[in-house]
Amino acid sequence: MTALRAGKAGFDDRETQGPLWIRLDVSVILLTVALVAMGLVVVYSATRGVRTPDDTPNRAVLEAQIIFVGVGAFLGALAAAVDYRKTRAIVPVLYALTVVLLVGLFFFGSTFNNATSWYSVAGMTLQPSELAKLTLIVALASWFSNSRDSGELSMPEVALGGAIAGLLGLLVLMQPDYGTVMVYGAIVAGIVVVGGVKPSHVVVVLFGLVGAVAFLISSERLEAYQIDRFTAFAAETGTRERYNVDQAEIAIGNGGLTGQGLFEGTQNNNSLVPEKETDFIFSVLGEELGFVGGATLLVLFGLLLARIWRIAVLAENDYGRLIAVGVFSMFLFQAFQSVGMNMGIMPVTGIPLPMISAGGTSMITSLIAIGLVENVHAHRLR
Amino acid sequence: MEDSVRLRMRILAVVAVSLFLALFGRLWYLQALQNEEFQQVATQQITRSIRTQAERGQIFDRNGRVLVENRLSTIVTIHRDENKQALIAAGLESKAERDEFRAEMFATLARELSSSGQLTKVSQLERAFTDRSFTDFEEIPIARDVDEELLIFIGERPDVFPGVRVTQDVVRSYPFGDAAAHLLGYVGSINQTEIEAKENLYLIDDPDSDDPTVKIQDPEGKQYRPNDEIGKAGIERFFEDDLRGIPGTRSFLVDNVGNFVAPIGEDLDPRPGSDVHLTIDIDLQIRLELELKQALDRAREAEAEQDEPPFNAPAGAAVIMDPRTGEVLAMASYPTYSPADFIEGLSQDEYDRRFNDPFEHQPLVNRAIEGAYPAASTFKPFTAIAAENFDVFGWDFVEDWNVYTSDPGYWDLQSCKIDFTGDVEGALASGCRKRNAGDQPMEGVDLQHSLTFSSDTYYYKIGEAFWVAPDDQINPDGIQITARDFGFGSASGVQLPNERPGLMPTAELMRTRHEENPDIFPRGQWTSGDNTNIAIGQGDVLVTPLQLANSYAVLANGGTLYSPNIVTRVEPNPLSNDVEVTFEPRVLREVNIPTSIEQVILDGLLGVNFLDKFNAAQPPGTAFDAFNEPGEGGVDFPLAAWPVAGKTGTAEVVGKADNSMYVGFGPSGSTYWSTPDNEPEYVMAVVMEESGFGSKIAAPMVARMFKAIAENDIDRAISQDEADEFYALSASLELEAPETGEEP
Repeated sequence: MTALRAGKAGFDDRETQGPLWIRLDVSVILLTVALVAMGLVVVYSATRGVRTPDDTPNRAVLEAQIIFVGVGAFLGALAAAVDYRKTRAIVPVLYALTVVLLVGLFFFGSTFNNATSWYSVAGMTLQPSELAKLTLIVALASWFSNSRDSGELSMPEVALGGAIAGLLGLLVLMQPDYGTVMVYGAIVAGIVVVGGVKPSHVVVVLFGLVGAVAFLISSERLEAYQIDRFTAFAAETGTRERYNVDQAEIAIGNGGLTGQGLFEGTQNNNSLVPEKETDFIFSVLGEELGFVGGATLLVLFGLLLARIWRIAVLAENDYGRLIAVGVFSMFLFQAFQSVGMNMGIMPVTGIPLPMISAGGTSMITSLIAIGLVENVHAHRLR
Repeated sequence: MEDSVRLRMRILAVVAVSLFLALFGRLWYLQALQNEEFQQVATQQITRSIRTQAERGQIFDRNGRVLVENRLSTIVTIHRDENKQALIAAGLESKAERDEFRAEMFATLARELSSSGQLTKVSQLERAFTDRSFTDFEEIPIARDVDEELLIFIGERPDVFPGVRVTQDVVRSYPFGDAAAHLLGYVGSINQTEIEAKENLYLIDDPDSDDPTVKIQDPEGKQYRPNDEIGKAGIERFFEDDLRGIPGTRSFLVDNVGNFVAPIGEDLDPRPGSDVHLTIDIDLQIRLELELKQALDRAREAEAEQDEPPFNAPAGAAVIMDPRTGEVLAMASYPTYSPADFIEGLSQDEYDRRFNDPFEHQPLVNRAIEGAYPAASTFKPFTAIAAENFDVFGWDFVEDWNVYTSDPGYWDLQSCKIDFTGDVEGALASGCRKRNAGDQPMEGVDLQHSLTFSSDTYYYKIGEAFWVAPDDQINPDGIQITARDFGFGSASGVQLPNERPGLMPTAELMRTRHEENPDIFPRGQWTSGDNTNIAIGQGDVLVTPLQLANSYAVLANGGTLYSPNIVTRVEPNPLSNDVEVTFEPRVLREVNIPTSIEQVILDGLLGVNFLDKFNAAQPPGTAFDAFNEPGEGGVDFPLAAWPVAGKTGTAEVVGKADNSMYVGFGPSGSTYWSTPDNEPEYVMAVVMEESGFGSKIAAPMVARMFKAIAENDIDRAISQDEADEFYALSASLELEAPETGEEP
């Protein structure tokens, strides 16, 4: 048994048996369905464009989003079904393909908002940097789990891991798309922390700092204006970013505890918040569904992250664990950054809220990521 | 799983929990703690409210002729938001580019306005454009009363003048020009002081609050906003709350760039203000103003005697009232101004030049109610009534009212206790000798003739007696008490702003004024001399022309003091909820005129204008020339049919020529003068500054005015509209004329 367990590609007999659908974490699927459903409703509200009773609602964005959900669900199921340990060999191929896609952007890419981040094919757009997040996760997970087999990480091993992430990051930086590079950073940080770097004092200090800030903000010790000053560092007044954040904050504040009602948000209906169906989608949710809606979203994300964390803990091997940790880090950072930016406590960067924001590649990427962690979970130890 | 991995996974969990706590905290802060503030901002961002001014009420004279109405004026406006949107649409993305475009646009506009006859500076236009008291969604007026041709010029060039419109605005119009300017007043933009004064009006209980101290603005009130029109003077100011209409409002939703989306609630239509009907007769008013001006012109022509101040005759005022009701029929003040000048607004420089330059003699002041003048000899009837009321006649050195005495031309104050016989210089130097005007000695002076000839000495005696007699015999304040009964020393209560109360000085007032401010009032002790001065209406007895007319109205109507009315009714517009108000005659009090001397005083006042046929040796009354001698600057007055009782006054003003005064009423009459006993219908008072003797200047003016009234010779005033019609008619007749005539 021990011998079997030590085998590199060995299949442990303690591993969960039975058909795939029994081995899945059902709660992850339910949470994902809930978030996607919530996202569809809010995206529809943000894009239906009804100003007066005479207007007919615009369903085009909603319908496109539903198609993306379908495609994402299919690819996600695929990602869950094929044993991740068996496909590990094609990771280098996947990595190379991703690099090609990213490099190709400089020749064939389309430019929106001053960033050349998209391929436009037959009216559809594809954002390779989104898919590259998945490549980064599996590549880093594979590399660091390989290295760990030989004990402590050596300096060259860590450096090469950095290079794997650095190349992708550099290509995305050149588009330029700083927001996505920040997500890469979060993924790297998560995998590196769990994957082998010594638990240095730096980590402890970092954790202590974040904890103290969170405690201060959530306690009643600070006056309202102090919290505001402390947290509203996001953008300078008078800039376009500040305007966006101001309008998003007004929208969220306008929502109050129970919200203005679905489709009733004045900030939303008057298009006062720019990019409200993508980066600023949380402002629409906050205005129309209020604290109840906003907190529900955060709780759903929190539970989903908790389940993914559990999947990482229960993972059969380090490769699977690090995949789960990468997905965990990606969702955690994107949710915090996107929601935080809407509320003025994070700088303005163009990052979608996973499973909520309108946008095909983001939705597909998120659902594949869910499929990957389910895959890891399906092959957990009993 | 190794322990170190377990630890690392926990670090990850703690980081995640911390971040989520931060998000929850911020969400709670925004949605629970700051919710109200954000809701307010959100609402403001998407709603706009535009007000339409309601038409102001009109002002009519007593015969229903309109004195102030509203007319359409062609104005140029600019709409900031439209201007900006048009420029952005034209590709001027940056503010600098737009500012540059506007500078050129204003230059062109100023040139066009100026060449169309409305001199306009670029800076004027720029100032109006940046006036922050207007929102970006209002039409901001930048030039008024422009040539209508600009409508085409600007209308055809929207690319040159984006957001600029030539439109029509309602402004005040004055069909009789400058007539009755002081009465009517003028309107202008509300200033900060006025906004503050009005901000507590039109508040109602908040229906959403149980606290009765919580008030909200009445949505149907007449609240003011910056740039609103408000009455600044006269009736326009006094009846502001009635004349002002209820502004209409239109609220609507706008989108993120301010475009109209949908209306909110129901539009509130503007409701016009109430009309005000005056007691004024515009025909009489215009004639009175003309007579006053011409009399001042004549006064200026007279040569002053050597070493005497010149007759500058810079200003004056006149009032005509109906003594039976206290209604003001006409009220004139000179110099005057043009209310229409305020339509466009005046710059501070222009305002100062016209109204604050001392050489302009304060044209905005309505001297009929704001000018306080020494009463002088016009005061004498009231001293006489006081003497009878307080038993002064027959006391010690005062003869009874029916005893003929001789007046040596002066009175040596008894309190001085010095015998000045033969020592004229000494008597004058001591201040103990009070003289008649021109030291004129008079014979056969009883009460009646003391008024007819205007003997000062007769009243010096009465005045001194009031002061020197023991208090248990004669009340020392008797003159002041009687004078107050006739309305002196307090505002009459006419419906006009800024009325002054005049002054009826007393020993008490002199003492307190001295104690409070010894530098300005060096004397604190009232003396015999002061009492003799007030007996002849000098020595700080100050009256307004309206008070003077009103006090003689009491003599004319037999004892009723009215609070003068200048308004008959306020008539609400049918579209408004305002209520009609009518003004009945307001009796202030019934004044006791002693029956013993009532007829004597009337005969004395009639005698002022008559030749005493019973006593041919007597000189004529002081205003005889004015009413009988056309060659002496007077008129040939129909005294027999329309007898006038009156009194001249010549008030001494230090360092200046005398004020010329006359106050009288008619048609009067008495058996003594063998005239029918009429009920006086008119009382008139006039004061002309620095114009000389009352008998020479003021009396002839009153004679002219009363003659025109008596002979029904008041021309019907022609309004501008009627004049325009007449002009158009005569022009068309001239065109037709050649057709009827045959070529020679």
